[in-house]
Amino acid sequence: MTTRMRRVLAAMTLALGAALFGGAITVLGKPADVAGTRHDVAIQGASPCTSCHIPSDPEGEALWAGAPNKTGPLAGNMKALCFSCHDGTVTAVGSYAFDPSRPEHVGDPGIKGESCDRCHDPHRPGPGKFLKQQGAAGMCQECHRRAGPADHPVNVSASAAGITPADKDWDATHGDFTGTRLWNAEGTGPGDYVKCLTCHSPHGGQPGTAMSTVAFSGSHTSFLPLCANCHSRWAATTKEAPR
Amino acid sequence: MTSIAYDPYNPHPRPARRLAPKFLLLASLLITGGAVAGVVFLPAEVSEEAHHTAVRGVSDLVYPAALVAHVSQPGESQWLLPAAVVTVDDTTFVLDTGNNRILKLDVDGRLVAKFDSATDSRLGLRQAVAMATDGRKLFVVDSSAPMVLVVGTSGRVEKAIPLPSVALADKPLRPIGIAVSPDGKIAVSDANNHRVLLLDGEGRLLKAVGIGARAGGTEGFNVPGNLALDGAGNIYVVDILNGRVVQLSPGGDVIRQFGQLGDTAGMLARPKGVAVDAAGRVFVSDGLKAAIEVFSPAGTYLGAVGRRDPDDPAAGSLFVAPAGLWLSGDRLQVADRFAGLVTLKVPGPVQQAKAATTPAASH
Repeated sequence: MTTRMRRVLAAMTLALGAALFGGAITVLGKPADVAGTRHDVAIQGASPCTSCHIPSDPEGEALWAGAPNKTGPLAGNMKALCFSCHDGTVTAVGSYAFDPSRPEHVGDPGIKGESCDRCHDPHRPGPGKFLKQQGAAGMCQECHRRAGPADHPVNVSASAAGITPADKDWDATHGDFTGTRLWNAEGTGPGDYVKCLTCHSPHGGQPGTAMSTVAFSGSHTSFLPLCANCHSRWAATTKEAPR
Repeated sequence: MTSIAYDPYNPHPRPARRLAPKFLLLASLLITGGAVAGVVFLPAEVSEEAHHTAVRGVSDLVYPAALVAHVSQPGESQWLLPAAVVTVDDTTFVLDTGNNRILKLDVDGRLVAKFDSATDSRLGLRQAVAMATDGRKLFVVDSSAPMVLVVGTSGRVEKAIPLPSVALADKPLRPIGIAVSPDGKIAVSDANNHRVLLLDGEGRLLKAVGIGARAGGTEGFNVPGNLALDGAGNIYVVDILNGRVVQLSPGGDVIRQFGQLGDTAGMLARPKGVAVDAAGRVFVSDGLKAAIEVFSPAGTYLGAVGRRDPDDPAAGSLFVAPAGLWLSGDRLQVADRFAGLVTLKVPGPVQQAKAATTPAASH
């Protein structure tokens, strides 16, 4: 190997190391991001990091206390950590997300970015609820990008379309996963707009459905009851073969 | 690293993983050198192994306990995220938080009755996570309502004690812990205002402990959670986000504190429940470590119950998210938010054999 080749190799090695080191920094939260948010739960003068990044025995990459159960409802590290506060004690906010009787969005809790952190970044408040993406109740499209002509329109006003859902009233703060949930334009609370989460709920879908807010009826194996919530004439005119 | 004590749940534990010191030194040099040069070549498995061994200066202790019963569900009427358990005589009451009700179980863990708003309209629970007893009645606090509900063992709400209007600024009271002394005094933890309220039997404020903001040391609490009393009436406060237990005198003065935020032996990651036995041993459930940690009356760490191999973070645990604790003699009951009701036998400390003849501690 020539001297020039050695120099090039050394430079490439250093660049790779710097990139990896820099990359590691960029994926981590910064104290300044968390400070002042609702996730800043440290006492005055203490680091906002150590409430979650439990000190002393970092088990693996993320520096938070490891969940010893690798299977089960709190499998993986992050979900157990989130539940340790969102269990109705430190906060009741979002505790409905851990209801084991309701199916939740598919994920792989042992892998970074595939647990609660699939949609939430605890370091940044984002558009609300520490969501990663803008769009809030419509953020599903960040991953589910079909948006083809056969898809139901979203971000449209229900009232402008002459639609009044049968079940239009819902409780945004206590895990109301039922019925038709119209949102405000920002997708952060109740309103008039059709969003993804009008019909779907990533935290508490009805069992056996595509995370839908309305269960299949006893005689149907389709979304008909969900659709009929808004399109009431379908319920009267459409018949399906019974199961 | 000390050897692993006998674990009744895991009679054939794997030996602690350990690497030879020379290899550790070599690995450390390689890791350090690699980091400095920006060269990443160490296999992750080796790196993790070396790291785990290097950071542990002491092995967790397995505390001697025996599993007596595990009721994952009480029958067809299933509970959802149970948060608290108490026993009155031989009857067990479980706070079925997710279903907003209280379940009554017989001595064998079979469902006897369900108490909810259908059985008594005043029992309209919404987010109740704490329950205590004076040995006769149940005392329940709902974090969404500033009151203590006194419920008879037959499910009738006998009294609703309003909490005093002592909320600070715009933070309504949010009670998430309760203890009741035999003489009727009540202690309630208020998560929103970071205080513990000492009340008389009618809910009148005797003292508020804490400065009304997140605090540590002797100033107050970050988030005070579950409470327990010892036989002398001292109050044990789980300070969830400070990872500690604070012992208060019956009058509310800080006597001592123990535990600190961490996830190694004797440290607390997310303490949830607390119970004190007749000998003064303090049992603390840790929802994140999925274990019950045991401390001496002076706060010395004695060991942990539940994790099958405390030295191996991947070995699993008897628990998933242990929360409320209740001690009756040597029977420790654990309300686990996901695993259900676990009953353990925790023998008294050998050096304090006389404790077995002392009256049972109140809670």
